[in-house]
Amino acid sequence: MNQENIRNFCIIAHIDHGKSTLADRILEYTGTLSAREMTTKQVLDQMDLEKERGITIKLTAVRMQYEAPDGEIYLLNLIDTPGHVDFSYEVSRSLAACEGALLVVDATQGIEAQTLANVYLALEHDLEIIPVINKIDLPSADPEGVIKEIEEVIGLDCSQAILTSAKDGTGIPEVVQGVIDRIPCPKGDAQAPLKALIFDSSFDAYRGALSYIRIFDGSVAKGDMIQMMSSGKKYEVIETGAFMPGPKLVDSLEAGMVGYVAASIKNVKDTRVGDTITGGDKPAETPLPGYRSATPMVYCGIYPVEANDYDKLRDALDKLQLNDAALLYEPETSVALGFGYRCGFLGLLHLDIVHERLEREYDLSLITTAPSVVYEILQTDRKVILIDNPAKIPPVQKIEEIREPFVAASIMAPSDYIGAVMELCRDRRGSFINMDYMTPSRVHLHYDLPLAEIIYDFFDELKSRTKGYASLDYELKEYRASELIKLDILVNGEAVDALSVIVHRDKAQARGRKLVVRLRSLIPRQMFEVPVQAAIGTKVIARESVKAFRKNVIDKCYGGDVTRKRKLLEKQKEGKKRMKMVGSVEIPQEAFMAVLSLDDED
Amino acid sequence: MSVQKASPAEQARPKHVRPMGLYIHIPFCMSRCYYCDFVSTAGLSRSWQTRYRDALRKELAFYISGGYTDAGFDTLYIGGGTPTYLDGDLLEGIVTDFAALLRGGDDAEFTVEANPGTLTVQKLAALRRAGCNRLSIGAQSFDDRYLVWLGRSHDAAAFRQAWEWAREAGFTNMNLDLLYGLPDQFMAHWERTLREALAYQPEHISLYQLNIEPGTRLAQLADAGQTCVADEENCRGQYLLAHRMLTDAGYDHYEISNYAKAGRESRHNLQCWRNGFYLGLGAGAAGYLPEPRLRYGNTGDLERYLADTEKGSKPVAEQERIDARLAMAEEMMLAFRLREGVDAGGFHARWGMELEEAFGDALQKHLAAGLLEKARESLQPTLEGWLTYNVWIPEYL
Repeated sequence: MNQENIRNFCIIAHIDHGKSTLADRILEYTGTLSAREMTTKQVLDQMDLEKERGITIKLTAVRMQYEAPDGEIYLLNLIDTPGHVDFSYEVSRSLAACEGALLVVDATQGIEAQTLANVYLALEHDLEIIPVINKIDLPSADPEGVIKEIEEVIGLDCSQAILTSAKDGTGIPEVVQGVIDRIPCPKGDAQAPLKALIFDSSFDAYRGALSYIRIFDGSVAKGDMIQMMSSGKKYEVIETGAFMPGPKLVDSLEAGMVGYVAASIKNVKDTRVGDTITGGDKPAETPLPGYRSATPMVYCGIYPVEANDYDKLRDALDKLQLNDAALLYEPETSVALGFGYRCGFLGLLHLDIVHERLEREYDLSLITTAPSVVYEILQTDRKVILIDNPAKIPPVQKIEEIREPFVAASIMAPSDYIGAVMELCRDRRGSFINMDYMTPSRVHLHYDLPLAEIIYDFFDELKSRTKGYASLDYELKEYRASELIKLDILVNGEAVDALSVIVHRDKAQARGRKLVVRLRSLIPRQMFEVPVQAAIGTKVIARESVKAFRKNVIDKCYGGDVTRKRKLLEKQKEGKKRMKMVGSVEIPQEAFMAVLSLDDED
Repeated sequence: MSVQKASPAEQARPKHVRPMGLYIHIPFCMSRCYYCDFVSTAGLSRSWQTRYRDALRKELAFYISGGYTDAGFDTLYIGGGTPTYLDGDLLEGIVTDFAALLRGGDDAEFTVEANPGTLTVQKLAALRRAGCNRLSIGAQSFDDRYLVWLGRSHDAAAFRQAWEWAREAGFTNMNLDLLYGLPDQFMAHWERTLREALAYQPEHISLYQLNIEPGTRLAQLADAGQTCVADEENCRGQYLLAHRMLTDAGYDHYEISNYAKAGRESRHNLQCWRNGFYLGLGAGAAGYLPEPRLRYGNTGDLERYLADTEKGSKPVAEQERIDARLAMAEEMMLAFRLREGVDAGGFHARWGMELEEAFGDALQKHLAAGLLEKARESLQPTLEGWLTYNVWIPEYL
């Protein structure tokens, strides 16, 4: 296949703006899938979790072989991208494998903060951007207004914007033709030594690690020797293929193409995302520009409820990391929870998804501790240490200063909600930078906010205070010294390290109070009274107690009841499976996350 | 005689013809009590009653042909609903029918449940004629205000009258049911209730805490915020007071909710708590059959029960095979309801496994926590263990 007939593109869109439906329509229109094969909605969202939540987490690449009206055959490679702020790292990976992007904007909503951030990323990668105004079938659609907004805010020429309704199929042929006419073809050197970028990977029990690659120069086929440029390790290719959208064997992958290679790579770590694959015999001189490695923003401990699941958890994390390069983990021990892992995530959604995947796909029962950001601690000996776990904070007398990460946050909202957004940011210790009007009715606010305040329900709160209209994007800015202290929680008189949190001094009293009240309602009653206390150092600032069971008996249990009563008791036992024995008290998973939902109590 | 302690002669017989308990459910009442979630319909006429009698006979026939009745039954328990709601002649007919299945003559325990409002001298005489030797009367309270609030169809005077008639009819083994944990029930009120109960000198007393069961009239009232039950602390106090008063009066607190004078324990129920087998007949009845162990429950829908039985099919709505592991778990769940608890030697003899091996961890933990205590070869629940039974017993399941 001539490179002139290849197009590699991705779709940039905010959640709910119709990206997955548009992708489905394109697959259908190009004949990659018949309407009948599209039995399940949203083919590209393969994971159960993605279908359930209606979001894209993992990027997927699909090859479409398309005969254009002029009779030419084209290979169109669509590389899907996630839309949530947590996953901007994955977005930049797919952008690096493309020459162009469809910018999908909801005709009823306009641009969102996250879309804007991704468009800037695409522009940095020199991608050709085709604006697509979707959902024009809706009565409240305002395509002209949205086009004007894109031109004013991004400065993108929208004279050739395509109006679509992915739902009813309007504009789909124009989109496909637009991809062919306007997105540049790849311009690799087919004769040069192989240079392929690994943009994703997955693990297959039979073929080992699969590397998802974009070939820039050269070609690769079964039987070729390849080598990883970062490690120099060599492998023989046993299979090359492409996703159409299921994996299909192809004879070879050539310059400009997107597909996968299998090379019996046993160790998942040997196919690092961002690495360059080159020829084993005839290597390229320089690698492709890789990615900066993803920086986890939040950390939490993950512990098996059953201590003997520890090895199973490690294997699961190993496998999951292959599909999720942004996931970091290392062993840690907690006095309360035993052996587990400290894991780093891009954000709370990412954490939530990893937790759920571990439980579902690997049949594990897990306790996740409250997430924490990474603090910088200047010790009295002038040494600076990094702490990602509140339990590991040195004693107060050894601390000179605690610094916390601040982000530059960008919030877009209808101007009616300026007051609400400002109030929220002020509550969360934000400092106002500036504000500009994108249109007379939409504003763009810039704030510096402590990351720790953002990871606690900030996004949910923002959504609820703006009736869902605001959008948020942020990036790490700098570390700043703050008045922070460690709040310890004592259950039944013993400090539970996994429940410690770092809070701002001014908020410590209120947080401690709310936390113990919440824990009192979350910790089930035991056979004895359990005091729950919040303490700063040795000073207890709040106390509640979980009352003991005084009487809890099934009074009547006769012949007719045995089965029913047994099932009732079994159900009760089932509920206990998600609890961890800490000392002599059973603590449920929710308790460890209690700090996240404190504001529910208001 | 219990299933576990079968004599050598009985063990030599095919196991499925070993004697069992027999339970008959009568799903009729005069009116529905506000707290009751048992299978029963109020106010049904004679034609329903005769249909039901015929259905019971048909259902019994299934089990006769299965060989389950060959060895006869040790105990017979006719419960409800309100068995004494049945018209006198029908009551006598049914009771006489099933009494024929009892073996052991006058010694065999034969209980009928009765409601004060439905008992007459004639019905009592009919029960005696049929061989009924144990009567269980639901007093619930001796305070008419509570009886009204509970939706009972009788007042305290009716109970006193019924009790007297029953004694006169020759019943020498009688149970009295009481409810506690009633709203705003002070300890002194409960103490008076217990004192009055003792004055009747019942052979057996059952005490149940009032619970609001889903689907009952009380549940509706509670949902609407119009009523509540006593708090846990209060119920605990009442439970402990009852324990003290009744044991002082010479009753043995032999099961979580049951007290009896020596030798007057409910043999039918003991058989169930000792994990024995029993056949249950009637709408909503449940049974436990041996070889292979199977627990079943009949449909609780009266019309469905009648229709199924009339067209010749078993009215079973659900059934479950009980494998050895589950049977052992159920045995623990039931045995710890009894003061006698679990006997390690007996457990090993029945299951071929040491008690320690099967449940060692939980037993050690509960011994240490004071929920169980050791008495020679047995492990027995303590009073505190009973009070929190629901909390720790799931660890055996």
